Amino acid sequence: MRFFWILGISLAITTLSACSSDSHSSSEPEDTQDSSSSASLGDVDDILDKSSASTEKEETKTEDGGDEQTIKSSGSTASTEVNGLMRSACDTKDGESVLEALDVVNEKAIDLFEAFADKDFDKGKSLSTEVKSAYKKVLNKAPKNCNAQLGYAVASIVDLANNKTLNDLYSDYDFWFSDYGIESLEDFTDMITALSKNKSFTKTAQDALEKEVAPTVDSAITYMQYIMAQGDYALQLSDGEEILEMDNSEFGIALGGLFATKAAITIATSMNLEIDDNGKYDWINNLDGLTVGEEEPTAKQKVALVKIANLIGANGTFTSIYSNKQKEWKNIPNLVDSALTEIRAAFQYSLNESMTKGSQDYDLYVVGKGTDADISTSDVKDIIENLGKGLEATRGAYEVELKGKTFMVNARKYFENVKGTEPFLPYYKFNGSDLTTFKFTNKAGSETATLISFLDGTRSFPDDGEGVIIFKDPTFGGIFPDFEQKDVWELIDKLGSIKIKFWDRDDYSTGGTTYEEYNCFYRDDNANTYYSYGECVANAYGECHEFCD
Amino acid sequence: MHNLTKIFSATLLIANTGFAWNSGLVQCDGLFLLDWRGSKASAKGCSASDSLQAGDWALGASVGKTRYHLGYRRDSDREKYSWNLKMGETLTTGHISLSRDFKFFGVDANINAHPAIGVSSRFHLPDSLLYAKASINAGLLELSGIRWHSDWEEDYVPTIDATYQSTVLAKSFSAGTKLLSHRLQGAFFYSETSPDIENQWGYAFSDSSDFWGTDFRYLYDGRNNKVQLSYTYLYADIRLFGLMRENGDEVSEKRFAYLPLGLDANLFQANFLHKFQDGDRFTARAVYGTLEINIPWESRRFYETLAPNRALKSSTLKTLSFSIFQRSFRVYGDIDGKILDAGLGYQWNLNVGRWHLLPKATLDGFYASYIAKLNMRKEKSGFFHIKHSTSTWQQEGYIVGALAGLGTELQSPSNAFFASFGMEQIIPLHFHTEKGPDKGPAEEPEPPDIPDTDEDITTEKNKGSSLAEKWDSFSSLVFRNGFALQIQAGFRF
Repeated sequence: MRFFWILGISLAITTLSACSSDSHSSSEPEDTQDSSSSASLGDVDDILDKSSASTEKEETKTEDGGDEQTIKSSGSTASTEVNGLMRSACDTKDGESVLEALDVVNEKAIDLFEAFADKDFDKGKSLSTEVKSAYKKVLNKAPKNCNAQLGYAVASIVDLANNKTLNDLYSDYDFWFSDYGIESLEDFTDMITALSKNKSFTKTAQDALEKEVAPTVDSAITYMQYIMAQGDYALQLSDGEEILEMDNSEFGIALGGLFATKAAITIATSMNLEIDDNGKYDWINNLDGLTVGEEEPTAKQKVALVKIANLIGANGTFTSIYSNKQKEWKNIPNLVDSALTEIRAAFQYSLNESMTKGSQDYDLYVVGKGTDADISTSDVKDIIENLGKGLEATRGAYEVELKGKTFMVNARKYFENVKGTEPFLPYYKFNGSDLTTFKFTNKAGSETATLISFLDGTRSFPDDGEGVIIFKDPTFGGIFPDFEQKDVWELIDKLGSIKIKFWDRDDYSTGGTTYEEYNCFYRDDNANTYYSYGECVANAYGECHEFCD
Repeated sequence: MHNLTKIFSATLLIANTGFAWNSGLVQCDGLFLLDWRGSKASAKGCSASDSLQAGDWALGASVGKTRYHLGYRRDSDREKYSWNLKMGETLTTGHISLSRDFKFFGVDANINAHPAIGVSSRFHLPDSLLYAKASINAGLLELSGIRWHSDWEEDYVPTIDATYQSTVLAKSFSAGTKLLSHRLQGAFFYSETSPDIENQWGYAFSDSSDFWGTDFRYLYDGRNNKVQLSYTYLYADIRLFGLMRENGDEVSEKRFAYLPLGLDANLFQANFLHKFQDGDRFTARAVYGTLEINIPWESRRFYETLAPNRALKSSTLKTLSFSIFQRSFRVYGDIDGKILDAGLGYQWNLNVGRWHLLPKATLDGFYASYIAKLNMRKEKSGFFHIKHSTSTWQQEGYIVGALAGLGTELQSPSNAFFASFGMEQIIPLHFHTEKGPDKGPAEEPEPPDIPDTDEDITTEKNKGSSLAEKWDSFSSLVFRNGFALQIQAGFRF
């Protein structure tokens, strides 16, 4: 009987369905149009000049001017809803005109980042100057405004794309590597000679980094630190329909990135990287054809090797730290520490948010379990754990495992050395002009081997090195705190045995079926030969990756 | 499957004892549609089936192998945006079924190798004046060997090897009446699919869908004439989705694809057969069908048509990608199509001794049309930017063509054995397609498939004017290469 009911109902539904044009009606998004403000960046001055006398009224205003405001407490910072966006107290405290101006500039900032994301660099460059300048105007009016500080910080970084010195430097290298084409040692020498007309190419690059980039990064760090100090400042943006919220999850990563950039700039600008010979680089060409462990160097090669020996030898300046930069150099571990700490805090913030329902509704990414999230909590926990390990390694001795050998590494010690390679060298004696006089010695100064014997193949490196090449400090200034001479050679041996494997795909067809064949190779640099681990014919990449790994 | 083979063999043995009616069929089919620049669709397979009836019992079994292959290639001027989508596998098929008839009732049970099981009960009055049948089937729907592969090896996601798996529960009820040579029958069927992804890792596709439909038919089975008129309606709410599932300390599963589909299909069929005194047969048929597919607008977060960032495997890069370069796509719109097919056929009865040779020829004319309007909303976000834009892609067209078939069948005396061969070829006569005005505030439209990045849009922009031409050429090749083959051999004793 039940089936007859079902049949009856189905008949009725069928009749209705057959008559209707489409029971699966197609709904449309409510708003497919971008909403954009009619104001332009040129209006920012006028907007800021408006009287802000109504500032005190704003907190209680509910209907004036069509603005709808709701005050909510978000963590430690009170937020107010204005025109559908939550505004932090740090942004609203400067009055309505500042808020209005920021809306205009933020909209252009979105266009700016959009242009760079779409690889429209010309538009991006054009916008970045305007946006940076507009944020600066707001900042002048409201120096403690978080939105203005954040906007100015990021726009300043982006505006480096307009920096003439950097652009000229990029154009020079782009010409040599793209148009000219560096294919030989001689080409390289020609390039660095051409780029060192007024001052050395290394100094040119170091000056650009130090004078053009570093101040902008420092300034951005200061602004971002102020924003992070607010506790839980958040900035909401909208494209007229969707809302995007940036909070400490993003600010922390940005600040961490700035610290890391600062560390990289400091490394690059603190080292003496000069390799010229009285302003000339021709000596490098003499290295052409040099082999290690095969035949005795030619007279020209010997001259070049003497130059290298003097650069990195006992009194060599290469990689030594400039005297005026030594303090900054020693601070690099702290910069790296700050970078990792900020990034870890950002991910921890995301993880904490994932535990509070509704706190990630407008976030760039949602952390959580299940399918209604972008990233799993376990992934974020893994990242936090790995960053923790990185911090441990930055702060002191850290246990490392390499191909079965476990040893301690204290990377911080590397930045305590300002003398370049000198403290890492073995015992040797050399008259500074004749390579044949370069001899390895023991601590007492007795000769153990000549450098030439390793170059011409009489001795093999590293196999014959132990006991012959004796390092003054096997801990290398405390970088490897537990190392003795034998440990150094064991490490060199293990590093030498690392073979980087890579894939090569070669499809072939037989019997009408196409097979995907993957070959796993490693390269033996000494023999300049590729060795194959074998082939893997597979239907899935994963199977072959396991095979190669 | 091994057990199925045994049961199939046992069925043959029982039949040979002579206590039962037995019929068997060995059949091979092939369908070959399009083979064009790496895009192709083909299916071929062979099966052997046997059924026997002994008293009130009926036993059936079959075994077979089927191989299918579907491929689609997207060519672009740039390697980065060229890709292949392939799907194919070899399936071992098989089933056993058991039926028992009582005076007014009957029961059926079947087990399928997919796997699937089903039971049904039947009620009938003497002479089938009234009859009804209720069935329930449950099984696993599984497709493996789905692979999307980018030509660009360095792509963030160069390869997607995926499986599709869901469970199916189908119910149906039919009732009818038979009076002399006339039969009137109505049926209602409902089925639902549920995701079955617990043990799938990597890229896992599944669906959660509801289907229901009705079928009404009238049949006249006279001495020299047969008539069949039927109407079938199908309604479906389909929700396809793709997950990236990884097993670690805790299961990580993120939805990167979601496609809801609403489907309405109507099918009207009419068949007529006249048997001449000399055994020749004349057939006529007409089919009219409509299909309306609606992709509804879906605004919820995590329910985008495609969210490539979530397709990345767990890594720091994946996490950072959301802040740096986040893209997602939402497709919505309608595709409507209709088809009209009418054809005639003639089968000759030639006596060769006591054997019969039955060559036949069929010729159909068909008309099919479609109209598609799809919108694609692209959502971009990242640090300090959020934007969306919507573009519309419209196209309509029709095809007029013919379907020619030739075949022959050889029957032994008393029809204890037969063998047949048949083939059909699609002959396109005219094809027309018209691309509607595209609407996009900032960008040119992309085709409604896996979206590319903006640079490819530029490529499409350049190609835009020749899209219809490209499709025209493509479709003619599609049908030129479309043909089907069928070879059968059977026995009955």
